[in-house]
Amino acid sequence: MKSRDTGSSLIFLILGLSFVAGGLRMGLGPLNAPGAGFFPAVIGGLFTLLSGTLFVRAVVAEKPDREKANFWREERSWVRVFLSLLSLVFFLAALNYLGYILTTALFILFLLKVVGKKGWTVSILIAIAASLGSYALFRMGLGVLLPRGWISL
Amino acid sequence: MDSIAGLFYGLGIALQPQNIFFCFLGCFVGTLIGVLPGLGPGGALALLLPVTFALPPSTAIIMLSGIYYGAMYGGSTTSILINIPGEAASVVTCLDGYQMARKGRAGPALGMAAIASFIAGTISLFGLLFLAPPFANFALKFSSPEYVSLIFCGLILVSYLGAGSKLKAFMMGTLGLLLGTIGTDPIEGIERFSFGVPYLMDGVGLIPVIMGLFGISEILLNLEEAGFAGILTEKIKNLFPTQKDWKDSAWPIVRGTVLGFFVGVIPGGNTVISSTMSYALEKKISKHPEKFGTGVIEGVAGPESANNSGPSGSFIPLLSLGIPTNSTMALLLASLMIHGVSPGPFLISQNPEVFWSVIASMYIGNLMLLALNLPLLGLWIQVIKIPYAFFFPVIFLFCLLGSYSLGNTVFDIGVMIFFGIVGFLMKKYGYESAPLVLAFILGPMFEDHFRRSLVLSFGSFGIFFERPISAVFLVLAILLLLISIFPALKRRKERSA
Repeated sequence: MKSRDTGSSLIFLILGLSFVAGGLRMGLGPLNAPGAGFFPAVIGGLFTLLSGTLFVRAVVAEKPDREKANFWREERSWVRVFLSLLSLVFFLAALNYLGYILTTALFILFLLKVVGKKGWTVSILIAIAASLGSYALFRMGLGVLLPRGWISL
Repeated sequence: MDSIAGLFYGLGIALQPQNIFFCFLGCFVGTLIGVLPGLGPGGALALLLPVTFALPPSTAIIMLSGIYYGAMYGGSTTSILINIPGEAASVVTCLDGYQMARKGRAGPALGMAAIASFIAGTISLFGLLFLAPPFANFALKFSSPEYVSLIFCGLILVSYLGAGSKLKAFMMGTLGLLLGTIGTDPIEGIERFSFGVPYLMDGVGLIPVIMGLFGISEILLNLEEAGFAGILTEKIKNLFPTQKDWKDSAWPIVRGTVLGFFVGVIPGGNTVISSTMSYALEKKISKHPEKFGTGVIEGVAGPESANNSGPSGSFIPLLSLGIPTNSTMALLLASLMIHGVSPGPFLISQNPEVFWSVIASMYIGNLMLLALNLPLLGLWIQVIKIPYAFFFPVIFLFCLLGSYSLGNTVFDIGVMIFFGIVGFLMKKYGYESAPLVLAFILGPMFEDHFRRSLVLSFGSFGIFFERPISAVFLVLAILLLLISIFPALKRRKERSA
């Protein structure tokens, strides 16, 4: 994973420097009364140092003899992960517009049908059951306020 | 209140119907989570945390801890039957447990796993019962410098004991501390790193981060897997281990219990480590080490005991010092904090009902789990047969609901998804998440005590070394750091020589 480390450590390096910069801007304060910026700057500095060490280590290391291990377990595994993430973002975006019940039903339907590759009937049934059931459980059982939308109960 | 009196007091509370119900619910869900490959206790706790908000603190912790040790019981079921660990600590149980099953001895393996877990769980509780109060007393002597050194030592230890690269683990620890600075500075009241976003004024939400790192990312990682191995469909007859089994397992159980308990106490000591160590230990001192891996019952009894006595051990630092020693304990800490209970030396005096009832209900829980895992085994076997494709949408939904219910804002959902992606990438790139979570939770406390210490000492760093308890922790931490760095330096020398 040597070449992967170069990328990630570089990102962390930049992140660390940002914290240091931010901390310095806020002011370190005197040592006997450390200010708001003290901790972020010092810890940020430490983080930057560690990331830098990792970066150097990754760059200097000899290339591994065998092929880089695959990032993804199988060829097509990234599809499932990507689609699931997409549906999570959909839920986030649609929740306040479509309301809980409809969003949930669509969400579950998509996951079961497209990612899980189940049949239409099963997916629709479970989607409806899950959205209504969870609505009942959380809204009535636990008193959580869920956004109302197109389908209001 | 001394331990025995406390136990009876706690039993009085733990035996209330509401607490019995939620204890059972926790154990049931825990076993379910343990049985299902893919979702571990960390993820389950993260999921169900929001559900506990409406409950009184004792009940909440009773249920959540039920999930934790319940998962340790259930995890062995799939390890033995289909060679897939239900959760991380059950990995070693696969080694001999599955082999026993292939020889037609699945019944005794499962039976022994449950019984060893029960014995270990119950005995280790006595350890918790009698050691926690003195620990708390000792901790009353702590002031800010001691906490700084203790947390520092703890974070170093957690990173050191992690699986992968120590450097990366240390990095994650520091990153966790940095993330903890986002929000309003407690001492000066300035906003730090919030970029004017109102949501961030209180800091990045703890629960969404945890739900993302443990819930969402675990599912995403699981979605990469294809199907799973065939399940042993032979009828499982005869759950009872034979007399020879008992004879062979007796000492492994004792050793496993003690080992797991003490590993649980130290920061970074989690059930994965203790079960692995137990297996290694049993193999080393066995009269027939070559048989390990072919289906010897010691390879099941030892690790199963170790992973069940671990939770009791881990509770000691949490309840007496307020310091979580692994991610699961961190979640319980978060739960306590949300309920307004601050764990630490004062917990026993200020909230005795929480302290004693949690310990008492763990006894009840272990009994329930014995019942859940032996007679109800058939139920779990049916559950395993349900394809994962039906589960994961529901788990996602729970995560989404849970994070939304925190503040009725989709912001929390966003944070959760973000950290879900982060957690997924971290796993892929080889970064440990435990140091990150622990540092994130302990960061604000750490910084606060740190700044106070410097005020106390008028700016001198010597205060950390002048006070004896603090000095001990610091020396320990420095030693650990040196041990971590030396091998790397040696390697570099050898390479350039």
